[in-house]
Amino acid sequence: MDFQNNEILLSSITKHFGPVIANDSIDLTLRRGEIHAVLGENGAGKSTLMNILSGVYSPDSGDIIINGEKVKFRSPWDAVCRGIGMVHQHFQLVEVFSVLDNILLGTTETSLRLNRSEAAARIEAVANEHRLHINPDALIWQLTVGQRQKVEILKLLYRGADLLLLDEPTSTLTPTEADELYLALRRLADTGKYVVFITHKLREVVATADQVTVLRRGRVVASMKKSDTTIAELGTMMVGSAIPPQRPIVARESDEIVLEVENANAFAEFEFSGLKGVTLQVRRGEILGIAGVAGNGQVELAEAIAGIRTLQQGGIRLNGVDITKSNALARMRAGLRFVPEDRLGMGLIPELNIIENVMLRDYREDSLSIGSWLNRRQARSRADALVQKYDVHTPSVDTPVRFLSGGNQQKILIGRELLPRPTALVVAQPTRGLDIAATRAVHDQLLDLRGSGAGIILISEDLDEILQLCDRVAVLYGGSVRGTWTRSEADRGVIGAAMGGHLMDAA
Amino acid sequence: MILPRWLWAPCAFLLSVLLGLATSSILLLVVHQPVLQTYNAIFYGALGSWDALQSSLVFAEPIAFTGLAAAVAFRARVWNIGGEGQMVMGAFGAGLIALNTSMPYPFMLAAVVVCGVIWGAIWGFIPAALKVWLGVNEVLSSLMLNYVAIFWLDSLLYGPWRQPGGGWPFSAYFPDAARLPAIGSELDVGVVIAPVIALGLGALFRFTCWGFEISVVGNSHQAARYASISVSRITIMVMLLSGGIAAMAGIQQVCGSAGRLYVLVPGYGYLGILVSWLAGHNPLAVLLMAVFYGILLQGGTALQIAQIDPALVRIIQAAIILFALAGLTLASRYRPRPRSSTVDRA
Repeated sequence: MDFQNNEILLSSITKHFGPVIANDSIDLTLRRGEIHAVLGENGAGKSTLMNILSGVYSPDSGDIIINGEKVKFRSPWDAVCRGIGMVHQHFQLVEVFSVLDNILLGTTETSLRLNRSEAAARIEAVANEHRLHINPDALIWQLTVGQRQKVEILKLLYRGADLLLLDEPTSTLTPTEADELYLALRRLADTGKYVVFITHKLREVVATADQVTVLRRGRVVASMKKSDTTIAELGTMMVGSAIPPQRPIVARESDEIVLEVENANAFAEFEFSGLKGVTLQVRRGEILGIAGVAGNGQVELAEAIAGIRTLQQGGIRLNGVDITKSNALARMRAGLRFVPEDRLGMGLIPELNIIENVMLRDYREDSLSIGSWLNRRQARSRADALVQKYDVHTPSVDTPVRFLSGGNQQKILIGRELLPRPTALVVAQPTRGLDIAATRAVHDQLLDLRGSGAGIILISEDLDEILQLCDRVAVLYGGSVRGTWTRSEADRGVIGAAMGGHLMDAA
Repeated sequence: MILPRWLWAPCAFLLSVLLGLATSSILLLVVHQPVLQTYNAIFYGALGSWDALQSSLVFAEPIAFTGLAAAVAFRARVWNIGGEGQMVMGAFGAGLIALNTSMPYPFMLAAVVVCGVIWGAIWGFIPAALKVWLGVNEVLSSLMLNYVAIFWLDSLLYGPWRQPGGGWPFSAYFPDAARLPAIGSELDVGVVIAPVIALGLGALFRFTCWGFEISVVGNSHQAARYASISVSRITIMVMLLSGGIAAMAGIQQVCGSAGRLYVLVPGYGYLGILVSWLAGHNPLAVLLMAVFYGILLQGGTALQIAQIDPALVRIIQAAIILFALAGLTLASRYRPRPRSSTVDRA
């Protein structure tokens, strides 16, 4: 039959991990020439499903049917041979190799001899066909994230991929780059490819997809044409209940400056950009958003303010007091707290239990130690109180933090930093990897703190989050601030352009 | 049957020892040695009588000290491989006082012990300082310092400190005031001091700010930075303590039944590393593992007396230790599946 030749079916796919059902009899129909979005929160089973389709996992039961023929993938290679290619969230590229070499790496060339010029010509042809132009001799580390993603797609097309799977493709892109990606995906679909991308961003689905399948807790909630649904409806289906409306943000009243960074210069972390003359001010009861693509100085800025990275030049003032020379402990005691983006590498110690993680930065304080002896009983009751207050799901406070889910880990981390009622808070990527409910909980905590008159710096790669919460937005690009906008002036397009290093106007 | 979590390690350990013995049996059969008789000899030689047990504890004593020393450093993930050298320098420091001064009893012994501990600590401080200020890998520097210490003591024993008129590389006997009080015929008070130090370390790790800082540094330098804990300070303090405890092994050997400086039997420093790993760097478990290793060593001696090839004895010891190490590692890695259902995945 004709329609069978243009369909890939996933039929009642089920996959267990121990007692957890990741995929519960999932049906999915992919059609040629169509962009199919698989929408769901973290833990909804999207990645498992895509890993099954790309041959990484084999399902406990259920079938994959390509063009009417049942197939069984024993390895990702089997899937590649059937024309299924996956673009991972974290690119699989060798940074010091050229684009050409990365594309050739692992191809099915049968002869031992590598004919570079011939391969380059073939790549050129593929790139022309799909309008994905990249200099084949450029080295990967010289490329932007958006260009690297193009290389990944080109690599799959060169290997003859018929179906392109993209895992959260826009999570590291600027809005401008994301728009380019949407266009590229549309062109691919128009030339008759299957395109599937998984995402938790509703806007993205509405912007690009033809067909949407919503997953929740390992099941398909609904599958429909994009034109038959709305953002609100998709959101409700994804979360399982209507998303509560965002809390209204009351305008701030004070002009008193809490935290001030002046002309800060810092050395770079490996392959990141360092800080080059950053100047910022945060007022009482204000959230200042720092937008930008990862690696443009966010880590350096946060650590410099928190006092765990030294500034080469410039100064930092907290409540009018110069703290440039103070260490992290002195800054903490002065009311400055910090939620780092590397939750398990820096903010928490996964092997230690909740009690010890609650003590991590405060064990010197009077209530938690007497002289140089720890007061473990006090620490336990503090941990108990924190678990109760933020509704952390855990068997007990003696449980190592690594056994908790990301959302619960983040509750402990933020709860610990908010406990001493800070006057200033630096918080980096606070909702990365969290589901909507946990994200809301974190946002509420930040808004409560803002309400109590603290000044907050919110560093996030999620522009939506920043536009939602912040009184003012600053964009960090290449280690310096590329403009600051107030809430009312903030415009996605302008800010997006600044994130990519372009200034549209002299704002 | 579900075992409680805390019983896993002991059960895994027992099982591994049995597996090690089973593997060794195959070897014994292959070379036509009587299996049961051999094991009988080990058992009676190492555990069968009070005398045998004492001999085992004589082996266990220095290993307990070097094991505790290793555990202190390894908890902070500072890789002190220099237990051997710190032990030798401890013996040197003890001899320095014992051979060159005279004081009444309690002061003399105290001075001997303190001087030994200080020299061990100095030998721990050197690699720590090189690491903190110059970024030198402590594994290499502490290992190299072992040889420096050993040859330094050798040169003294073959030179100026050799007993006048004696042909062997022994020093003169220490004055009685510098000797550790004896317990039984072969043991000294070290057998009591080691558990006291172990208890002290246990309390230090669990109940003090400093112990907490050590575990933070040992788990993540990033988190330590974040908590405003100086990794350099902890590295230096831990190496000083580790060196001082390792020195006790040397002091105990020369001030115990020997009563004079001699070329120390090599290897106790390295065995301490092994024992600390077997014990998961838990000070009380280090004591148990040191005794276990003492039994293995004494059992080996007994076998040699029973005319069994010493190479064979070594192989049996190695088999048991390898199995024990593997078993304990597996026990600590393995997690039961049902856990994930008790933890909310939201």
